Amino acid sequence: MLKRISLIVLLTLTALCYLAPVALMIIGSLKPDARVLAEAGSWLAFVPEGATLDNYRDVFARVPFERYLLSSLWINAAIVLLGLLVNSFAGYALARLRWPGRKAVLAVVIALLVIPFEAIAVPLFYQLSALGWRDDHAVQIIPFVANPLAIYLFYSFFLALPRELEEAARIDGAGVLRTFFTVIVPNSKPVFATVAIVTLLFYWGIYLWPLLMTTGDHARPLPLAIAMFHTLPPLQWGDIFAFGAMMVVPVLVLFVVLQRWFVRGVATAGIRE
Amino acid sequence: MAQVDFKNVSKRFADVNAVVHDFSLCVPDGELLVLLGPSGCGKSTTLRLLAGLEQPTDGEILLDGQVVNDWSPQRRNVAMVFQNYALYPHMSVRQNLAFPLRMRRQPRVEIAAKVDETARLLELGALLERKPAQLSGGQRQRVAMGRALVRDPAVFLMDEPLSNLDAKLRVQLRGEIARLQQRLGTTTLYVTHDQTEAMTLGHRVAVMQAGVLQQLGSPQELYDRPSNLFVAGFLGSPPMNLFEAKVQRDAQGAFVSFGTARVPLPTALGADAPAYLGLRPEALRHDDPEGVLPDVTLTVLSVEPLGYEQIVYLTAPLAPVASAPETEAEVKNSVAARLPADYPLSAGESITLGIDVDKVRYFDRNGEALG
Repeated sequence: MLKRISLIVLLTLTALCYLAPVALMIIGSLKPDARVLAEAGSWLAFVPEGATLDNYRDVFARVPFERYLLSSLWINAAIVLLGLLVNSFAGYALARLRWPGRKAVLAVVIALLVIPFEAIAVPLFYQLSALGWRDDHAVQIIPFVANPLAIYLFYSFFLALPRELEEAARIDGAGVLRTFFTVIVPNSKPVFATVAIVTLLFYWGIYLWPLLMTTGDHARPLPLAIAMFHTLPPLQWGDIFAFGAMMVVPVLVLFVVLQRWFVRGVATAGIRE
Repeated sequence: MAQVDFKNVSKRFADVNAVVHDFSLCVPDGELLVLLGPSGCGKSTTLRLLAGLEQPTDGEILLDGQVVNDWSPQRRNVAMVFQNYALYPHMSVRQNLAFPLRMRRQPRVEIAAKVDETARLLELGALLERKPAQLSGGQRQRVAMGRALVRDPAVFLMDEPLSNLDAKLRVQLRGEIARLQQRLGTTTLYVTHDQTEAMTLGHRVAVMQAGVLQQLGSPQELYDRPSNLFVAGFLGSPPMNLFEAKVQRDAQGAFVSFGTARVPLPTALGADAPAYLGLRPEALRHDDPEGVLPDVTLTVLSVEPLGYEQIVYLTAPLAPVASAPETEAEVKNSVAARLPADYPLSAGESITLGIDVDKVRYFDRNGEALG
């Protein structure tokens, strides 16, 4: 019993440590700018006394926040949705269809897992610059649709699905595509949710690529925008906190909605019976 | 309704030898044919070849005289029941039953009517809105059957459909399958490793071993006249007693000694000298008061009472066949006799039994049946 209580206390404290910065950001975003820094070193930082939305109004007045948000939403929605389609197709082809070179492609996909994006960012930048392609939404979407991690997650999930399901569907009269959409997809919700969340979490915060590729406001996503906003005088921490809070909330909501599937997906990816 | 033909069909996978080897078989329209064999003998692969889930390496598969080697599974109009049922987990029973019809783009009204009819036939009416996870094993099996027969397929394929059920349910559903098949008259190929299922269900039974068809015939033919040592040792519980036979000759002709018994060789064998001798457990009889049968006295090793009869294992007077399949060492070095239960016996006792010489089977050096 004592062991249980001390464990709960320990876990609560750990959770508080992780939650504190988020709480600080949200509470700070509601305070007049002058108090944000003044109270930063004390417990008062967590007291939202005299809450106001002034900072939020400020953000919209100083920069075209809605444009950054729309850019981010558009880029991420496209990466996630196109990615689910393309990567699940690829994972299915690798797991189930028989074609020459399948094993080699699978080896390449697995090898690509270990290459960080930063390593290929500069060559990719030169390549696309040479083509004269930059500073729009598509250039922030297309390079990220196919994703080795997503392919691998789909591959290992599909591999564990009972093969008889597909065979039954084929005998019942469904072709490969119909089998995929009517039988495989509905039974693979956990892996689709997992891939969607993992992809979104990664690309919602991507900074380096838009920094390389965008020059103006019109295709600039939130992570780059907040960095620019930070350097935009006058330095007002309340405004920056408000910006950050607005940036985090959409992902947080989506995560809560999908987390039931996400947890199951992580638990079952690759280790199903 | 359709006739099925396999013509010299072989299937090889890249990494192993032939799984099915030069397989030829004709299943006439309306027959229930059982493919029987130990696991890994190629019987499931044969079924999958017919379903179109595998492509034959050699040979031709015909449905009603048409070569279907290149046809997709959907075009062949066969229906399959899988061992693990393969019901679509995300669909209700109703949706599962409707799926094959939806894939064939039949009108909604017709689909609803067919689903209801099938549900009535299989007594699934009360379960139509449930998901497969909410069904018992027997109910799932019924839904799988329903999904197969809802669209009036040309051929039914059943791959060990009862092996995931408990013994009692298996017997019950076995009867249902037989009645259903008789009523619908659909050509059916049924794969099993369970000889009781094979014997009770099959109009004819095809015994397979190592990808090769061993024997094809009615259950009774297979039991009475196994074509080789494998079939003899595979069918029957306990299977046929198989021994090395040393042919001797005296003034009355050729014979084999079985302990003290002189078992005369049938004249039909002619000049062929048998190398092996096979004896069904019921060929050893204790009801031979007149002593017309050659008799032998043996020692009881163990007794298995079954209520209505008893299986008695006795010391073997001859060397057993080394290759007899799936038998334990003790059983292998003994001879099994099927005796009435009203004849109490215990280990160590001696008993004199008559040998029903008409039921003795002979095999040549290669294990093929003689006579």
